[in-house]
Amino acid sequence: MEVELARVLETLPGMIFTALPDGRIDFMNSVLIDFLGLTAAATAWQFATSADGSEILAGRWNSFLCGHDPFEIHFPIRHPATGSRGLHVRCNPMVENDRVVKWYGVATEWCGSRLQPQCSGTKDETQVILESIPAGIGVLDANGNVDTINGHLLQYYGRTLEELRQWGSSDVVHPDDMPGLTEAVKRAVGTGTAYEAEVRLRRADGEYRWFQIVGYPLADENGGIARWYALHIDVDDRRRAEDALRSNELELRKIVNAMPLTVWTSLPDGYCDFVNDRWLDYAGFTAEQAEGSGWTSVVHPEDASHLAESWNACLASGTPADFEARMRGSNGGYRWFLFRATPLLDDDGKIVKWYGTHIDIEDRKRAERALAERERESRLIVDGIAGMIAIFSPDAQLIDGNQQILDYFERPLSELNDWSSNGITHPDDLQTCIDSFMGSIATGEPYDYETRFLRHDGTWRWFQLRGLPLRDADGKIIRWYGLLTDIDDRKRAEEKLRRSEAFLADAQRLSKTGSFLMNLGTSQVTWSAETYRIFEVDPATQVTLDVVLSRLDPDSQAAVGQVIDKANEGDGDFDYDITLVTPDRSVKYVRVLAHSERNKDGEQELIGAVQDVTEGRKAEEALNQARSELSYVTRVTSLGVLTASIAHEVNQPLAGIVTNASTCLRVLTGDPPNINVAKDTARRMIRDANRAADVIARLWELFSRKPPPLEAIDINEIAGEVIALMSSDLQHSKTSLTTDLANDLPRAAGARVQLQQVVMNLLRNSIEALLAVEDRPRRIRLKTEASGGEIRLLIEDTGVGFDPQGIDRIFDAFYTTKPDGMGIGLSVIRSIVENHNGRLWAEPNADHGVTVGFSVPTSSSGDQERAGPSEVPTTSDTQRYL
Amino acid sequence: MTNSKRHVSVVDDDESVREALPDLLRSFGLSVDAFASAEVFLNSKASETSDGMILDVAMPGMTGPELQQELGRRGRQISIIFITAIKDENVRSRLMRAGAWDCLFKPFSGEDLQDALRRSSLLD
Repeated sequence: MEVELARVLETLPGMIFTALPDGRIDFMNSVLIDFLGLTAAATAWQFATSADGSEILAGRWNSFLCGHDPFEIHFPIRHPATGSRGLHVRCNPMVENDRVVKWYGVATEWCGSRLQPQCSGTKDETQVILESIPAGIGVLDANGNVDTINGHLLQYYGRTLEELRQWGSSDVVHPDDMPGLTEAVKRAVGTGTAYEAEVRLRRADGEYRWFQIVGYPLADENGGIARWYALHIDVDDRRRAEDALRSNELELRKIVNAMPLTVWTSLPDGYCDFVNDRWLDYAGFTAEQAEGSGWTSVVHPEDASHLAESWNACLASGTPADFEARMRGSNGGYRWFLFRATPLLDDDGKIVKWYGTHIDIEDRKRAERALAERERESRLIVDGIAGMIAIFSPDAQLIDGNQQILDYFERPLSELNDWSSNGITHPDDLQTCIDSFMGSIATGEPYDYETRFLRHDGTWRWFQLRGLPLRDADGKIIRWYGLLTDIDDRKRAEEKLRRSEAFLADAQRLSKTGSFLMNLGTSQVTWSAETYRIFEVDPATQVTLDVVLSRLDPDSQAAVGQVIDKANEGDGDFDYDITLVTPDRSVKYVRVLAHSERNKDGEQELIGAVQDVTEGRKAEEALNQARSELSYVTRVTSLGVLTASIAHEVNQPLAGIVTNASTCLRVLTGDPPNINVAKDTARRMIRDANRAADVIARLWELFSRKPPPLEAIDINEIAGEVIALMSSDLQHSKTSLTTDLANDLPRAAGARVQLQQVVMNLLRNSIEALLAVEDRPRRIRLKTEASGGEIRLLIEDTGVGFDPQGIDRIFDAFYTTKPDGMGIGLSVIRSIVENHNGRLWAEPNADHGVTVGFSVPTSSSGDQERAGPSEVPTTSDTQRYL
Repeated sequence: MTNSKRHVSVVDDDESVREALPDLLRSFGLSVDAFASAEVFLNSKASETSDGMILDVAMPGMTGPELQQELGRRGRQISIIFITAIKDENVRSRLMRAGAWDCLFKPFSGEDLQDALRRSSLLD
């Protein structure tokens, strides 16, 4: 019962109680408690009569309460001080939905044991009694007409008895209540049963006040109605209180119903006595259907028992209720609600009421369910994934992992959680792991790092670790999902590739060979490091065809342009030379070997290698220079200087002879002829002619007597030097040369340059002899050997050879097989060889060509020191060949 | 013809030329002195009085062209005809540019020499 109502009832100036349909009294106000001489409210009447009488009274009491109609009853009540007191009780039901839910009762003191015998007493006596009652009493005759009215009532009305006898046509009863009252009296007279009415009666001052009028019939000796006693109880204050209460209650209800949440109240025993409209709307219930335990029918069957247990526990302990359950809405769907209830305690700490709410938590529950579902799905993915998964709590604790991770480590999860201290993480990587991982835990940023983990068999393998946080709807991290990808094979491949690339780069650097790849469609060029170095381009530069061309001289630019045109046309191989002009204007010679083909994407590409051959080219140029200088020297020394010397020495005497002859002619043709001068000139001519012959002889002697200094010479070395000098000629003439050089060849005594000239002339002779050969390979074989104190060098060719009769003459001066030759080369060779005390020979081969050879004596240690003119014999017999 | 004989000096290290050439030049009507080297010629009176020279190119010590330069340095205007045993047209043209009247290759004929003397006005 609402506190307000209790207070109202408490303040009413009368004995008030309420009772439940089962006969229990659930409320007594203090006036009644005092009247009964009790210290606290009782739940049942204590009748002051015999046991049988008590039962009868209790039976009557209960039977009235089982009905629906208002009733009155008298009974003696046991009083602790006075023994017994009479009590007149009137009760009205409070009906809801045709069901009595409560009885409201008003009690007045009744001295029935004295009153009853006086019923047949005198009128005066009756009047005395009437006047002594502290309430308004009207006595009606059997027909309902006013007979007597006691002083209280007359005083109230301020009217005479006569006036009041005409009440039915006066204004003492409020016009609105008049019909009800007259009808009630009329019916009561007709039926002989008590009547009751609440009407407004006009007080002397004109104000209407509410009175409860209860009329009881008094039976006469014959069983008929003798009189009617009508008790007038001023209930105006009560009515006002009730109105106020009703108004308050309505107001409260309005507020409660207007609240945007479900509000309910229940009695201390859990009986629900109120739910607000919001709940009723939700459940589609009426207030009556929800009352008591009616509301439980909408609770989800799965939650019902739990809810009942929890609620009963709260009722028993008095602790606030807080639990969740689903309730069915009017649309048939269930929603989750949070049940919350707090007990209201009275001054004694006793629970008088529970106030509760239902909070709709369906959305939250749904979110939770969705989250759970997501987690469940994540878990399915986790187990199905072909990688290792670790799941961490927001505070970095490993809380789960898939089978793959367990299989790798072969350790339980609890051990894996200690990854930072139990040795499964490689010591070298540990700090990185801790920094990266804990950093992400702290910031919420995803992590991504690499580390080595110890496999169960004791091998370390590289892993890539990537982690993402799983967040709830509010953005709070609830899980970390970590993916561990085994990248060991990839790492190894990378390392291998890196090593291989380094190796390749070294090889390219050492060989001065770079590689390139050019996409002919886009003109994008990819270079190796060495190519950048060769082109002297900053390695950071993005290379295009323009960059390449900017480094080339004009001829090379044209050449490269042609190569690209051809490469565009189709697959092919290219081998060409280009000339680079570097930023400092120096020149580089580069050989390019390339191949064009279509790549896997269908684009035409040119792939190739560039080799810096600048040094080789420079060496070759230096070699060519040396060779031409040598041949010039050879020519000059063997012919030019000789010729000039001969001319000078011979022309001097010839000039004398001619001059003398001229003088002789002049003086003989003079007149007279000067015979003496003519004789002198003739004598001088003879002398000069002899002198010319002497010059020739002296010249040859001079030539042959001036041997170069002798030294110990390695003929193989000489051969190698000459072959190097002649390589260009050999290539140019498409002649292949093989050597067969003897090992441990003794040193020869000779003049290096002269022997070089010998080998060179023989070799050139063979090359020239091969030029006319078209029907067989052009081959030269150079062989050295030692025997019998001499060293031999033989040159065998497959050339045209010479006539058998010419073989003895080939070393004669001016004998030649060649149309443009002077025939002097081989004669010089001969003189050199013979000056070395050696031999020179030639013989035809069995099939083609000739073998020419020479020999020189081996050197002894003494010979080397004493080299001088005397060591080289003058071969006077060679003079005839000059 | 002039009143006095023109005087020509022959400078050549070769004795055959020194013996043969003066007789021929005298037969042309010139007076002649012969010297075996440039140095001897420069120290003689002839270096002051000669109208012309027949000068060998290649000589030990001072060569013919060096003597020509020395005379130029001394302000002597002498008509010079070079003779040489080495037939080298380059040398010849170089000497001609340097002021020589001619350069004859040995052996040369009497007519060649006479033509050269006429061109240099040593002979009429």
